[in-house]
Amino acid sequence: MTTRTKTETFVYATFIRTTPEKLWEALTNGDFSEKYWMGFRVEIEPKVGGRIRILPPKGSEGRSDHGGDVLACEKYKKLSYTWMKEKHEKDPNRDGLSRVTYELTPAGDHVKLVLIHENLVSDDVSSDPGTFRGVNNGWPAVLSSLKSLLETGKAIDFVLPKDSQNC
Amino acid sequence: MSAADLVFKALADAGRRRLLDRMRVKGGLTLNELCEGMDMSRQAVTKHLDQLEEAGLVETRRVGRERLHYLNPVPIHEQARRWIRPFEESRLDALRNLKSQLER
Repeated sequence: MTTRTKTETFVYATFIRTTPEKLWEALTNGDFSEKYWMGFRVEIEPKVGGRIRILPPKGSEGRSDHGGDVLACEKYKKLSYTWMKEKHEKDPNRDGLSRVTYELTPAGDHVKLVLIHENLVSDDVSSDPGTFRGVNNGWPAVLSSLKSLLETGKAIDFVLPKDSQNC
Repeated sequence: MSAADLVFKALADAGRRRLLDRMRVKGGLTLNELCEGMDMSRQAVTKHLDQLEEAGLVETRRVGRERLHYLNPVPIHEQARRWIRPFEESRLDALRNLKSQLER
């Protein structure tokens, strides 16, 4: 008998003073993502069924691609994809991959970015807030840095702990 | 009110902090679930949730007929970066360690 771990969903939201076009570019362009996402490089085929790669920074090539397949793609509005396909696909503790969705909604001179990460299992989550391990510690840092880069032109320099497996 | 005001005001209440802690442990709770074990009325919980939502600390999603509440830690992260980390000196850590050693 296999017992499936109950899945978890995380929802993150932030208001960024920018346009949906610029935010979309930041989310989908590798040169941009490297700056705010601790060196991770996003490469995407922007269509449903396309591939999204989220490649680990130089010097951490042993870590797996954090991307997967594009599930939904409405330019400047919504992007949804499977997370860490390479590493999680054959994981018997999972009932399917986890999914990441970005929703972009204009709000005055800001854009509200909502990030939903669903179908997570307990392994994905860290109860230690002092690291970037666990998606619950990684995303708030990435989103703060993205906001800072778009609003001030400067991303946040994070010091990645040596043992960090997830971002 | 600035984002910082909203966040710190929202955090300046033990009941609201407890609600945030509940959502940190488990995301996607309904109003009924959040009311359980809270020694306050449903109206009071609703009011606190509104204030947390206004500060951006709670995000809600509608799933079917239910409204689910999630902790959004991003504004806290932003305020911590602005108002807490710059004041953290390793010396202060050393002092705190000494204090906890002595008080053990």
